[in-house]
Amino acid sequence: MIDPRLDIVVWAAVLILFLLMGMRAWAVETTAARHYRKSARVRALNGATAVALVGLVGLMAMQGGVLLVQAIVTRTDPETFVTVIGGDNNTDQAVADPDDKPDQPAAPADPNAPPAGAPGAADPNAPAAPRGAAPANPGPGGAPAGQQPPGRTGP
Amino acid sequence: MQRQRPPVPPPAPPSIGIYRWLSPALALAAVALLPIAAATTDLSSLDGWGLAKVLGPAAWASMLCAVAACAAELWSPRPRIPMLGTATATLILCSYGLPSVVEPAARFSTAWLISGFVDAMAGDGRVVEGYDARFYWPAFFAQWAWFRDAAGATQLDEVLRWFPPVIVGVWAIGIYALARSMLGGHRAPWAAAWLFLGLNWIEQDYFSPQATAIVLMLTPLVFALGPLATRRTDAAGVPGWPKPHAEAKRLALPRRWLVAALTPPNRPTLPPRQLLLIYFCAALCIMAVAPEHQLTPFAIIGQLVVLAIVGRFRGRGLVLVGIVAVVVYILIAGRDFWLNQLDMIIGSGNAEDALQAGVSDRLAGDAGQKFVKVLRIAVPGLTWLLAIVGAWVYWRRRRDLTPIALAAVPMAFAAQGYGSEVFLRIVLFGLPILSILGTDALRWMARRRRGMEKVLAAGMAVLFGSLILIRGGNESYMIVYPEEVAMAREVYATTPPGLEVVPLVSGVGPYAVDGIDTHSRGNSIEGCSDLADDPVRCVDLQDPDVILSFESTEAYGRDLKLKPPGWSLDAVQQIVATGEYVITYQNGFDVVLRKVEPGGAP
Repeated sequence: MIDPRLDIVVWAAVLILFLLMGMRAWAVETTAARHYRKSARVRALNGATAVALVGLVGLMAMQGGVLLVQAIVTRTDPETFVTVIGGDNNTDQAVADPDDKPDQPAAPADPNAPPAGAPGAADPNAPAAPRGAAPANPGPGGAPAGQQPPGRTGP
Repeated sequence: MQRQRPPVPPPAPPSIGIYRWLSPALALAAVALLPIAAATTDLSSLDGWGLAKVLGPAAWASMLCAVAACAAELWSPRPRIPMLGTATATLILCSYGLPSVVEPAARFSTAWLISGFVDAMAGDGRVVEGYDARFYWPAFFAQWAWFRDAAGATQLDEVLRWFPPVIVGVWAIGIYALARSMLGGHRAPWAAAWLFLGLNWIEQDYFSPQATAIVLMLTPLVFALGPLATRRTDAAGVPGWPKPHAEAKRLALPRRWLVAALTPPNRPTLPPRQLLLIYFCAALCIMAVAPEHQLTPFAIIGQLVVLAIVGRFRGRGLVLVGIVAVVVYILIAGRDFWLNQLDMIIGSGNAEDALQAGVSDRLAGDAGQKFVKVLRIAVPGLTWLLAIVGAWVYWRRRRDLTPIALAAVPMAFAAQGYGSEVFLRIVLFGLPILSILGTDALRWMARRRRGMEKVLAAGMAVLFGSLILIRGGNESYMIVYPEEVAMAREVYATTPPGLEVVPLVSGVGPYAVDGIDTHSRGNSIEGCSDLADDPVRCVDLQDPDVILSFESTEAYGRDLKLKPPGWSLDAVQQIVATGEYVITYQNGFDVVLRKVEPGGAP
């Protein structure tokens, strides 16, 4: 079970780890001693970084890491055994196929759809219109007036 | 009294004579020829041979002038760095930028699709879930949506058009910086940048996350092999591997590994503040690439791991930063991805399938298409051969095999079974190092026989000619016209949200320039990956509200699938004959079909 509300804790742990690593880098590079490993502050920061890393790994394991590894090792679809509770939805859903919703209100009608048997449909076998010529049948879905294309032999 | 000799004046710098003006004049000529190239290119004649066949003499002359400008400045007794940079920029404009110059809009359907992704994120900044796996790595889309909103723009059409030459210019800077560290000298780094440009036929420089990710990959690599580069000194005198001298006694391998692991690399001769700034910038790039692109982080982490193991750079913590950033991003931010699409992480694991899909299945189409694709296979092979020679030269000079290992790291992607495009990525991620090693081989040849320089200059012209042929090989169905973009946008603007808009063939034309978050693309139906597979049956099963077909759709079927000319209009006619659709717009092969309203009600 994964609770996305706890993700913030993981991000905080990542931030702490990176901060500690930055401090350790600063301590290592600014230590005058040739053997920086003997420096007390470097040793202290080494320990703190290791603790932060272990804590982060534990949090990641709790927030789905174990489940992800289990799914990869057993090649099982995670959706079959992972439960995600709550969570914020900050995404837009892709528009589903309107034909997949028979029980729901019908998809909005296309106001530009011509009625059945509408006359004037362009003959698809008509010779290709030269570039820049007016559309065979601009219709409501055609290119807007004033946006006729330039020739195709150059920009 | 001892007479003091007058100080000997320093030798006068060699006169550069004609070279002062030769390179600028050639670069100017190259740029001046571009408008003529645009005016004399007949895009209506595009076929399976692509762009190379329809380019006029002015375009080729422009490219040759740009190559000559580069070679002339390199031959100069005193090459000028600003002039070399200008000549390189001209070369990029006259090769990578040629489609941007001669075509009226950005090429490549995928660039327009990504523009649609940016459009979907603009305004509310929300990704679209369940549309495309690329939305799980949305940094690039968010970045450009932010730029677009901040600029008050409503589209990025001109950005798309000029993005390839600009981003390739940034890549070239990275290659130059890498080569300066690895090769040294004043001329070789420029030659390495040009070799990279000439060999990089892989069209990943369009408006895309991976194009930016390559920049983020090159930056830490430049740092690691440049200011952070160092070597491990073994105080105990334990020889490393390979042994530096024939008479040196070799110790047991586990002991050498242990000593190596416990011996920190030497501190580079940089002030601590500079080192810390470099660490910070490198860490920032590695962290930024995690939400940018799915594959690139693994390439840079793999290369840094190799460098860390052999003790070639200071700052091994960067490897940990990269691993933590990628793992946490996928685990937490990409939770929906691994919950729903774990197969993409695990991959098929079948390198044979990937090889078939990525190589043999692509050898399709008419004679021009097949020739170009054979060249696409041959060029990476020749690149690797040249790089292996370069690795030998590099080894003789520096006793170091690390570079060739760096180039081989991306090959691990093949084991993951990423898909048919994995080989493109393997070549692309390895190409920076391969180009530098190749340059070392060419420099070795040029030093052995000075006459080789002229041969290499001629080879550079041939290489860039072949680059235009290879990159533009699919131009007949990768080209996009402004009126097609306008047509697609108008369709989305006049079709109510929620309805289904589907192209006759996916992957060609600007069918997804808009409507990513407002209109449906329908479902995946077996045997109907494209409506054109079986127009009547697939349209009946998919039941779209609007169908789009473009000139590139026609060219795709004609040149790649060997369908008869006019096949797309035949498919349209079949669909119209069902009585369920009518054509509401047609301009040549650009067609909009709309489903008729049942009952004939207006």
